[in-house]
Amino acid sequence: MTPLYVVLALFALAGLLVAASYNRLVRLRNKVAEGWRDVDVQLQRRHDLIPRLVETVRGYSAHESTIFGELARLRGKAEEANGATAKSAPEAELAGALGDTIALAESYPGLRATENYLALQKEIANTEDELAAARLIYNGNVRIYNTRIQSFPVLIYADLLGFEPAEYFQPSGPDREPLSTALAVD
Amino acid sequence: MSEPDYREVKVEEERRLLHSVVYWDLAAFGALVGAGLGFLYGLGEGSRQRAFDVFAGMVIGALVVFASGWAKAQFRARERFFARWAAKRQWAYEPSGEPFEDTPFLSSGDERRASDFFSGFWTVPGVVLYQHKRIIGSGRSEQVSTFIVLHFSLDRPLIDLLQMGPHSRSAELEEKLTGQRGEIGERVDLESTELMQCYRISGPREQEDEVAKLLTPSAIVKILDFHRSLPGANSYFEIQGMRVAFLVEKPLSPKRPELIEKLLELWEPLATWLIDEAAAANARAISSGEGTGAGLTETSESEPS
Repeated sequence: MTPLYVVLALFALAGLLVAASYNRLVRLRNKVAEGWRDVDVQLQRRHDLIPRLVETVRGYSAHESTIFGELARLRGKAEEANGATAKSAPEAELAGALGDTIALAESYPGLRATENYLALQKEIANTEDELAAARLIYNGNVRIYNTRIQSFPVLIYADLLGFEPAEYFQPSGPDREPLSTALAVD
Repeated sequence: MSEPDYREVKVEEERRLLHSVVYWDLAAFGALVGAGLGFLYGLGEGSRQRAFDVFAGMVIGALVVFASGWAKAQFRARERFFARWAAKRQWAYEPSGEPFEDTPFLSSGDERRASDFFSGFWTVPGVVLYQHKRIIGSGRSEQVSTFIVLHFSLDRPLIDLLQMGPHSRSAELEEKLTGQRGEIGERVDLESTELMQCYRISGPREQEDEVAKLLTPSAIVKILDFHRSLPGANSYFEIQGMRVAFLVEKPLSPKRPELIEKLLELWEPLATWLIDEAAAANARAISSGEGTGAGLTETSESEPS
């Protein structure tokens, strides 16, 4: 009888360990989802600022309709995309176009001096800072979660329990300057 | 003014001690007292044994004076070095003072001691960096922990209480077993797994939302940057109303004064963030006619006890 008890005890122990590991994986997956929600909120804030920026700049440079059209198109494209990987490229393009629009606005001293533009510029800078921070937190959560599900012995049962690797969000290429650093706010 | 060298200051102090007539007089006096005590100790013994006791008492008496003089020289070398080092940076330095005890962690322990107060490194008034010793127990069970502390006050209370510190497995296990939160407060769960792995974050019961509101993603990234820059060090953050304390469990050593500058550099973004947050809250309160310091219990200026 004793070997049977030992085997049963080992099974029970293994079951407890898997249950504890499962709970931990669920927590990590929820953290990834929570991190993504933060990124999404900041992306939405960025998108909401675009029409205001266009309206502000248009008054000074109505002839630059191409850049505004492009900005609207890229915003639509970024909003349509779903998921971190799918959003990465359109958001990078949108950030580029946003940078171009800000550069355009900077070339009008009259516009640059307006309170409205200064407030908007500050808001964009804050959003970009918060977005960069939210992205770092999200990618950090993804790294920890992915490492966990790809490590032994979790990799044996992670897939069976429905834990799939999460996607990183990398909207700027390695050689691209982040938009927040391009914005000079005093 | 050239950068002071601790070894030079130490050698200078030791030389001064060895050239001091008072020091040698005291050593002779110590030997004399020791000899007298040795004589009294050996009264019941034979003459040979008594002579040995007198000699041993003499040696011990002289050694005690030598050792205490030497220890004092080391202590003075430390003070002089820190004073010169601070003066070189146009900072103020006070070798001793009362410890701050206005946050839960700073007031913890059976006894607290403070030394080496530096100030004037930032333009913000009231910012002090010092060494804080926390003593728990006494006699053989005495445990002394030494921290470098940055202490300052905000324009306005930001939160009733926020504590961040390293995970203590034993404290957390005890908390789970007993259900008692004790001094470590209610655990707060934030969105960053990395931050939760680095620190145990706690606040008052039912105020998790306040903590989450204060610890925005950019603030979390600042804290993570600090943690990464100081791997392996036990660091703590405490905000109670207007009072803020950042702590690192390390002693202040004149052999490594650069640690002070490194810590100040690492703490500056976090301090600036809190000062800005308090200033913004203050401005909002003024514009809404609420006045400064309203809404929370802590309103008085922080003072060392």
